[in-house]
Parts: sequence; C-alpha cells; structure tokens
Amino acid sequence: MSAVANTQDDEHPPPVPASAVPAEPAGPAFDELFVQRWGATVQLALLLVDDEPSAEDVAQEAFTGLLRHWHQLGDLSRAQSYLNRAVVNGARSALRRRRTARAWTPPHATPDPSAEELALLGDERREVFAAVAALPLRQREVVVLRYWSQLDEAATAEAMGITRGTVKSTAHKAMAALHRRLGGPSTSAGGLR
Amino acid sequence: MSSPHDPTDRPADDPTDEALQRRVADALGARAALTTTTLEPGALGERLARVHAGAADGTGGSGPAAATAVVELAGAEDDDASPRRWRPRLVVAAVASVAAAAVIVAAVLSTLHDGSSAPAPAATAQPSPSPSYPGEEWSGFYGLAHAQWPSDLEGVAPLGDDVVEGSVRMIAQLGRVKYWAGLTSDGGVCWKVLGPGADEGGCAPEAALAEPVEISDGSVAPRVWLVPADAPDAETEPLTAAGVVPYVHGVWVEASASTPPLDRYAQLRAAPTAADERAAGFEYAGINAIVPGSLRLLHEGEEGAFVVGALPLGEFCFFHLVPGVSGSTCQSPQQLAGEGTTVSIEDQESNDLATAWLVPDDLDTSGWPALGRRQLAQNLWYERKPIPAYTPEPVRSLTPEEEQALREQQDELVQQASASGRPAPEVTGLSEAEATWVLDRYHIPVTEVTVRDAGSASSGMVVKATPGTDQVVPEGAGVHLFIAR
Repeated sequence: MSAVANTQDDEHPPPVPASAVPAEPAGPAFDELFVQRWGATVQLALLLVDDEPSAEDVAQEAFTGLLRHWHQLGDLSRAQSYLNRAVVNGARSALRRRRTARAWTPPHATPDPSAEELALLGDERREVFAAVAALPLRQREVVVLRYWSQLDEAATAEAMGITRGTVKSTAHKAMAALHRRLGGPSTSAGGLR
Repeated sequence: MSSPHDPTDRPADDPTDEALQRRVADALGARAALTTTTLEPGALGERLARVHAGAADGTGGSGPAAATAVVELAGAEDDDASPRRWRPRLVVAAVASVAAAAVIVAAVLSTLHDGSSAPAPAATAQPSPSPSYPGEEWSGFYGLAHAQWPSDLEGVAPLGDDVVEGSVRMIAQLGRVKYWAGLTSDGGVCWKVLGPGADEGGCAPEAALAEPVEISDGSVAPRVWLVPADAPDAETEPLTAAGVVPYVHGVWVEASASTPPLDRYAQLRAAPTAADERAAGFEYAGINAIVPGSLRLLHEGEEGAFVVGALPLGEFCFFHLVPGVSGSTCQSPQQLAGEGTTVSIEDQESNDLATAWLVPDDLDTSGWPALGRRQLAQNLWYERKPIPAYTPEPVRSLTPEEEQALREQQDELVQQASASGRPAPEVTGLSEAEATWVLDRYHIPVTEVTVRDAGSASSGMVVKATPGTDQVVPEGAGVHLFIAR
C-alpha cells in the first residue's frame, strides 16, 4: 500500500441526488457491487495516477465514500456514476498530494509505473501510453474516461464535474496533442480545431 | 482483467480519427490489464473490510474515542541492552503502527469470516489463539506475517502440541538446516532447529517477542535470531558485532551461513542459453536493476512464459506472461517460493487463478502435488484453479478504540508521506560497491563508511546501514555504511 492516506476531496464532493430516499441496507448489495467493480475501479484509477498502490487507495476511498452515501443514492444505477466521479476526484487529490509531498523528488524518480510494467506493454502501446501520460491532467482524464471507460460526453462531464462543452473541447485538444506526438493516419491536428 | 466495456461501443461523436482512438484505447487497456490488484476472495474481503471500516470511521462511530490501551506485562525493566533469549518488560500497546493496523483489519475481518467474533483486543504484538487473518500473530515480524506455506506446515509436527498450529512458520533455511517457530496459546514462542547434526529447540514465555529472541546460538547450527521490527539499535548492535544480519524482516541470521540467492537455483546457476537470450530480448534487462546476465526463461508452454531475473539485493523479479495477461513481482526468495506470482485468466470457458512459484533447489516440495501443484521445470511450480465464489457477509462497526487506533494510524501515514526524505533500500549483505550503487539508484549518497568487526561476516560485506531499511533518509542526508573488517 502506498504511504499516502487518501481523504475525500472536499472541493469536489461526488454528487448525491437531492431527493434521497430510504434505501435497502448497504450490506449485501454494496458488497456485491464491490466484488464486481473493484478490479475495474482500480484500473480506472491506475490510468489516472500511474502507480498501483495509489490507485488501490483511490479506489478504496471511492468505495468508502460510496458506502457512506449509500442510503442517499436512491437508485443503484447511480452507484457507478458516483464511483467514476469519486475516482477522478481521488486521483486529482492523490496527484496534488504527490506534488506537495514529493516536490523535491527528481522528475525521473516520481512514482511512475514501474519499468517492468511498461516493458510488458510493448513498444507501440508504451509509446501511446507515454503520450497519454504526458497530457495535462484534465485532458488525460477525458481520454481515459472517453476511450477506456467508454463514457459518453454527458457521463464524462458528470465524472469530471465540468460541462459537456468543456469535455468536447478538452477531448479535441487531447487528441490533437496525441496526433502531434504519435503521428497517425488521416486527420491532421489542425483539422480538429 | 479486461476492460469493463465492449470496445465496439466506442463513442461515435469524436472528431478525431478512429485509428488513433483505437490505439489509445488499446494502450490504455493493456496498461490497465497489467494491474496486479488481486481478486482473490481473501484479499477482496480484506479490502472490503477496510472500506467498511473507513465508512464507519467517517460517520463518527458510537461514542467517544478511547485512548490506546497499554498492556503491562509482568517483570521489571532492565537497562542492559544486550539481546538475550527473552526479557519481560513493558509493552506499549502500539508496538508498531503496522501491528495496530493489522489488528484493526483483523477485527473487521473476523466478522467477515465468522460473523460472531468479539472485538479484537488492544493492539499488541502478542499472538492470538485464533488469528483473524493469516499471519496476524506475526505482525511485528513482517517477513513471517503471511499465510501459512507448505514449508511452514513441515514444522508443525516437530514443534508439537505446545504451539498453535496455524502460527508455525519456517523462519529460515540455511543449507540443509531448517528453523521453525510457533506461538503458544498464552503468547509464548517455541522454536525448533532440524538438520544434519542439529536437533534442538526451546520456548520462551509471554512477552519474549518484545525484543530479540535467540533461536540458535551457533553451537550445532548457524546462528538465527527473531528480531522485532522496532527493535532499537542498542538491541541489534550486539548481533551486528557478531556478524548476524537481517535475512528477512524479523529474522536475522549468521551472515556467513546464508547461501547467495543465485546459487540456490539450478536454472540460475546454469549458463544462459539461446532461449534466455530471447528472454533478455523481452526488454527486461536493466529493469529494476536486474543483474546483467541473470535473466532466465524458466519455461515456455501452454501455461505461458516464465521469466526470472535477479536483483542485487538478493531478490528476484519473476514474470508470468500469458497472452493478454501478465503477472510480475519482485520479491525475496522466500516470498516467491511461498506466495509465488498470481494472474487471473478469464476467457469464455473459465475464470481461473494461475499461480507460479520460483522454488530453490533445496526446498522440500514433496507434498506439493497433493496440493494440486505441478512442476513445469526446474525451480518452477505451477497451479491453475477456478476463482472460488465469494460470499460477502455482514460487517460490524468499529469499536471506539479501534476507530481511535485507525485515526492514529492514518495520521502516522500522512506524516510519513509528508516527511521530507525517502526510505532507504536494503543493502545489508552487499559489498560496499554494490550498496553504493543501489543507494545511488535511490538518489541517496553514502556519507560515511565504518569498517568494523562483525563476527564471521565476510570481509567487505555491509553488515549494517543507518538509517536502516525502510527508514526515512532526510533530504540532504545520506546513509552510514558499516563494513565487516
């Protein structure tokens, strides 16, 4: 585990429905959801924070927050939306703490994915992943949520706490940057704007 | 693990070309699939317990938090810092933060597993007759705080009925001499040493584990000590002087008796083959300071490819590569023979866990086939089995005492994370040059070198480093190495 204790990001608390209704006891339903979604939640966090211990912390805190708000969800289908946003918020907090606590650390010594992990990706994927990792945080979030989590613009906007228009423009910039770095067929970066 | 979504369900309204989107999705998916977070039921249960504990903590619990309890054990304090077989003294409840956390998790897990356990006692390093998760009773000796491995079970019979069976651990194997220890139901510790010309054992009463315990004095077998993780320098200094050095966390052994890790594996002793050269082509060379020339392709077949490379710290990186899935871990030889590396293999027909173990030549594996494990190659054992169904059970809330301990634990973690410095790697057992090289990789300078007497430790070996393993080296400071004369 990481030596970083995660706390909820108070600046951007995940949303809960205004009209909370009494719900079933959290126990079995929550536990079942946890078992089903733990792996995918860690993966999403991993793509945002780079290192697995932090990702597991972020995922754990997301589920902890979900459990705290379980009775306010009203609708079980809201749970995934809550998790998405909680992971995005948790990842931002983790990265902010990392910048603060380890500001002195040489850039090449930051807790990036281990070399052994990257080696397993292969050249092509490693190059693409490195390009995604080099994006500004918000662009990276959009790319991960849109192209790995397969969220639509509305869901991405909700997870990130921004508008759909911002999602669209951020995605444009991100893909243009990836084009410039990776090259690729067809559309030029200029054509995206 | 696979991506949670159907890749064909890609957003269609993006303005960029689909080829780049596919490349990005593919790379992200591959990176995500490399996560080693386990879906093994026990580990998931522990995670779930932490989530419940965290949620309970956030809601304020039920009543004011109590101060951490202090357990006073019989006996007087003794100013003599020299280690001895055992010595009663005060034991503060929070012996180590990890021990406290372990008990908290254990308390929650106990209800996960049996649903009816009473709250856990105050956090101490004392054993519990019924540990709530494997290894809890050894939480002050991290190298032993693991599930019981087959090599541990070998020691159950020799130790006899005096000890709690589930607490037995093999604490070391030096050549053909094996050392086991187990805990008694009243908190004591017993040990057994067996090997050519060696058959001895002993016991120490409750509280002995609060400080170093001598398991073997060197008369019939190499010296071995159990050393608590938080043992002060004054207690370990005599061991260093005698050439007894850390072996795994919590166990110190006579340096001259420890076989170099590379020599313990036939496949690693053998000259590299063309296949091994191909393993080097997997781009592992140089990763995590893998020793050049040490990479070996242990086996390649329908189970996947298995590659191992040595680290200069006496650990190994062990890779299990299956198409679409990869598992890797860099651990001590003990961990790799005990826990191995596990990957989950999911396809249309199965949802399995595959575990591979890197096994030294001298480890007794005679009972492994009965456990469903099979040998794929020299030094390599394998098992694949379905992931068992997981049935969550209700979890109780934390007691005020546990909540308080959890808060303290979190505070400590935050302080550690905020500390200006970085943890020192383990360099004991290396030469001065090797240690300097390893420290340099962590951007930690060697600020002082002291040559000293260190028993039978070979000349030139690092027998001690200050700050020690995992201790924070303050920014701008360095490590003081002590070299055997």
